[in-house]
Amino acid sequence: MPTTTIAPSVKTIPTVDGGVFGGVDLIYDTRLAKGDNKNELRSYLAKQWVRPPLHLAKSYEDDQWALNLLMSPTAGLLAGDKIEINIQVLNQAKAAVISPAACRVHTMQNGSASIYQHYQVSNQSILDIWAAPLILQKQASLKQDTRVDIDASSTLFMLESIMPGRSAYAESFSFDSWSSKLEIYLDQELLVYENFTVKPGQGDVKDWQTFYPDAHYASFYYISPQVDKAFIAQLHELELGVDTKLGASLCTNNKGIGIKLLSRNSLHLRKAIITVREFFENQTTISFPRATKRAQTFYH
Amino acid sequence: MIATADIAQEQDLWMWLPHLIQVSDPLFPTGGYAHSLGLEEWAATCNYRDKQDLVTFFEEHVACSLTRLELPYLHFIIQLLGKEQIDWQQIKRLDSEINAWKWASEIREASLAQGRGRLRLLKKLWTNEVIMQDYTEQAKELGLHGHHLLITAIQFKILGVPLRAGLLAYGYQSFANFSSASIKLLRMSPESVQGALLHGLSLLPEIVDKALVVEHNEAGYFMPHFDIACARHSTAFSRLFIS
Repeated sequence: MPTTTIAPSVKTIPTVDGGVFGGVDLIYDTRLAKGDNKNELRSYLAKQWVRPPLHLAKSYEDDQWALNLLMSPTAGLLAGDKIEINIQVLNQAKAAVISPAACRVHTMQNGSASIYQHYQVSNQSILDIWAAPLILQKQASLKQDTRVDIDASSTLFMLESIMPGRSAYAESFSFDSWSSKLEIYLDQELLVYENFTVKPGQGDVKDWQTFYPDAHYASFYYISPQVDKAFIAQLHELELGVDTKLGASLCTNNKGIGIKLLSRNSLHLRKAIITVREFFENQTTISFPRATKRAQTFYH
Repeated sequence: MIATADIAQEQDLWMWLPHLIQVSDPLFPTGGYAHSLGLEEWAATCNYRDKQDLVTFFEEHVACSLTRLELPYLHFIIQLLGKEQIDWQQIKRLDSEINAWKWASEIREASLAQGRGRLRLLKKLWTNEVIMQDYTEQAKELGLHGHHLLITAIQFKILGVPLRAGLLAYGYQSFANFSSASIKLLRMSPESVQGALLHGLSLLPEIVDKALVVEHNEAGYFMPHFDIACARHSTAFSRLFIS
């Protein structure tokens, strides 16, 4: 069985003015099953570090996968809050990390909240990141910094979605600022790079609102040794109706697929996301555990 | 009366200008004419018809992309190439970022194709330039992608084009490329296209001013609808342009 050294998780807690620092540090590994299936590799959560405002529900294993629910019990981020999420998936492990409740980024007088994410996937492992949307409330400011390191034998499914305000309060694009930086490295080569700041007050959302004034946005990345060029046409042919726009594109050297979705509202975005998920569940040879669907209550 | 020597010196100072016009002209065969760089699918999606639509596209997409993304990257590379000791590792990083932020594959491929076309001509026409030899070696050693922005920056170094003039010329090429494509895509007369182009060019001085102060960590722009259109072009039922 291949092995990878698991580095001990060491955390220092910085002081954040007026906010809280929290997050998770998770390492998924494999071990041989016991009993009748003793040659079978089972994924499990080998190490964990959790600190509020995030909460990690008890992990469970299903069909060789390890699955965790990640939630923010305080129901959102406030000015000065900083969340750090580090997840490693090693040695053919299959891990799904799901956040089943939308996370609100609350109204801020000044300052911003920040989310730092680092995902490492190696040695024929699979990581499925399926988060409920971030809701950017009025005067909210959010900085996101996401880095993925994956090797060519491994697979990543990563979904991020953004709601431009609270529908119940008729908020739409009244947040102050959303900054996002995403770097995906495949075998240490930069494969995907996104870096932008959106400030509706400075006219940055004209494109975003072109077809839907309250457009909800989702971005999906599938990085895998199994990428098939034909997926692009098939994704473009998905029947999503007139209330959703979908664009899918191959990453360099066909090492992955990026998908962008814009929908008229939350309901249409949910439907589109489920359709895209089901497409990959049907088209790839990866068997997703039933528990993933059950756990992702935001979408089902 | 101006002395003949002064006139000669003045001419020397501006000798980059005819060369810049040469390499910015559609006659300079980089293959740009074959690309609409996303406009074809976007115009169809938005039901574009006339000059005002093209002007809107210039203001809401081209100007923003030039200001926040493309010209800042051109600026960063020109700065690195201007140093006595060129840091090719840094240039590789920028070239890789360009490759990775060109999200739609056709747009990425178009940039690589135009880079290759421009490089091929530069090698033929300015054979003995040290920078060309350096680039060829480093491209091989470091595995540079050779995006159009990088090759354009090298071209400006060869010709001795001042920074601001270089950025203005690149901006002109962008507006001109979309204008050229729009003649085939929209119901527009050549006169109307020139009117739209003139409007685009009137935006350029401010675009360049703003682009010059963009820091590396803030360079980037978010256009999800346009990205979606660019991606969908690759599977469009019919199309005139490669991208």
